Amino acid sequence: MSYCVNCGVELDESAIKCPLCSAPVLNAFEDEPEKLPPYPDNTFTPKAKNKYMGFFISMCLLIPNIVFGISNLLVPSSGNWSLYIITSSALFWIIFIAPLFITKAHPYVLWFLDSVAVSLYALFVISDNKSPRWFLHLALPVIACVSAFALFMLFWMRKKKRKWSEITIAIFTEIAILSVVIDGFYSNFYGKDAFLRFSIPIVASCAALIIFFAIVSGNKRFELWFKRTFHV
Amino acid sequence: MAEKEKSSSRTHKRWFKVDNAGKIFPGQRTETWSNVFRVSVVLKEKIVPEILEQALEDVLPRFPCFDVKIKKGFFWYYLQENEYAAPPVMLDVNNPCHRIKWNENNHFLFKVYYYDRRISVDFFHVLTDGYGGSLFLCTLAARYLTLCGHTISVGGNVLDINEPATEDEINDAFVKFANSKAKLKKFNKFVYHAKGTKLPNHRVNITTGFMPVDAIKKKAAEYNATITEFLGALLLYIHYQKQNRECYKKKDVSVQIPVNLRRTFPTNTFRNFSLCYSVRIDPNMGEYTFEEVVKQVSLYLRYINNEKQLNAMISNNLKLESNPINRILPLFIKDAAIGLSFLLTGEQTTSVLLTNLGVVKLPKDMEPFVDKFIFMAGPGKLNGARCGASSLGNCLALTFANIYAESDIEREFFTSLVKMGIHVKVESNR
Repeated sequence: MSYCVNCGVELDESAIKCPLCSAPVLNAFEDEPEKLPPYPDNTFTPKAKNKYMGFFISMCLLIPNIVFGISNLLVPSSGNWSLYIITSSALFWIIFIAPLFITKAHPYVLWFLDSVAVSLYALFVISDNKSPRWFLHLALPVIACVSAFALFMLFWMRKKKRKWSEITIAIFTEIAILSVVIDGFYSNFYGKDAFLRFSIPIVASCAALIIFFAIVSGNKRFELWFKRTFHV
Repeated sequence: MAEKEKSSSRTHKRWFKVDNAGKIFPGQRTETWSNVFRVSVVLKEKIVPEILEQALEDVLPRFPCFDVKIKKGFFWYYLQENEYAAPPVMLDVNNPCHRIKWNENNHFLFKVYYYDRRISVDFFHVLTDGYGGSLFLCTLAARYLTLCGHTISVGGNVLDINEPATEDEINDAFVKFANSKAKLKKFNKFVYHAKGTKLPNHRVNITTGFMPVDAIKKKAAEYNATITEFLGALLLYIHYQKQNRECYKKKDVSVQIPVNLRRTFPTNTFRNFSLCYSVRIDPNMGEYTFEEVVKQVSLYLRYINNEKQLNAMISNNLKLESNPINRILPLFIKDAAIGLSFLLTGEQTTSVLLTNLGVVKLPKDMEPFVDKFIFMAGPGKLNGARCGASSLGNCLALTFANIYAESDIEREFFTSLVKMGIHVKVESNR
């Protein structure tokens, strides 16, 4: 039998360290046969099943879309309004529901699918009443920028485990930069003289939040309170 | 696993209402957590899984309220007789008490594990409490030993599997005894929680300490306390000191202690029949010594532990269930409300949990084959180290289930006992 020199408790015969203080067990009788540890090494990792939820939401989306489509076909003079609803629902389904059906969804594949879906949505639906120039000079560059930022965020977060404060600061930084870029494209497209029209309040708010989170990120008490209060 | 041979039961399946205490557990569960606890018995021989499977199939009919699966009604969940003979017997895992999924495990709400000389059962709390779990496990172990060729009689926590379950054993005892008209005030002040580095989902650090019952009883008697009061006070004092060291702002510190109502009300129900009450100290009142904490816990528990007070508590809980508005709310609304309420208040009002199953009694002819009995409270969501205790013979097993990587609470707890001259042996999954 072994005792922990720090804690004074008797240790299990199989222990190689004290479970209370991690002090190593130095046993002079190393020839003794190895004992089974109190618990096996194998762990049970339950799999999350989201397919039922995905199926349920898909049905909830599908039924009203069929009704809208038929109603629009019966009254063609009302315009092609149902097309907007159906394509918007399809976009929502691709972005939020499709990942529930994929068992091991690779984030880069999902990013690619979402980017293509948003581009097609802009091409076919939003540009329905607008010129091709609108799509090429405003919609496509904005979508490309948002996708690029999302890709960067994905890469940055997967590289190593980030603290919540780092993630929050990165998100607000991206929002600020994106708002400036989108503002630039918008001013360029419409030929407005006043650059940085709507991005100024966004950048100011983001800057304030970034400073706040940068200050509190070193405060362990705040971090623990935040984690505890907003745990899901 | 073969399906049961039942001719008429296909159309007339037996079903049970979920008991009053169990009603909250389905609503509390999430994809990563559900309220699960574990009872284990360590025998003196290595477990043979094939015999254990047979023993389980033999024992399960004696516990009809465990031989069920959970179903959703429109207003409430209910338990319906399971078509499978028994859940599979599995090799134990490093992370027990992980969440129970209703469509796994042949739809049973408890899991049976074996490892070396140990048989363990993880129960979803909706089925039963620690006492019901211990009855099931002791009867299972007794049947296992009988199948191994030993002669085991009936008595203590071992039930006769040839007798049918009585109505008293399978009924909701809360409904039977709740008749108080007293109104109780709810005390939901948020309290201190020990913090640490959270382990990944579905993982828990388990540390069990074994100690002699007579030594700890003697030490508790020095403070004029029972074992539960003494252990509860020690846990409370450790959390109080930890808060003093780490935090500037002082919050109340509380220990939640479930009480087995079968000791007060005459029933042998297998289902949930326990209540939790919290003992708290307010550090803003001044410095507390350990003696004062023991006195506070001891006096409060003795003051509150009487039939009238307990009846008022169960009657108040039952009023929530029988309220006409609550009854007609659809289940999904009830689930959402329970989930939200648990998230916002739940463990926010208790710093730590200590649940003492008490003495597990076995027949005399079974004692030579049984080494230890272990009771483990399931991991919490905010409560770091939750503590479960049980004693068999002269061995008290005290198990911490900790969701944090740090082991400072356990270390302080066991080293305090060592300093008091009590011998402690620890084992862990760390």
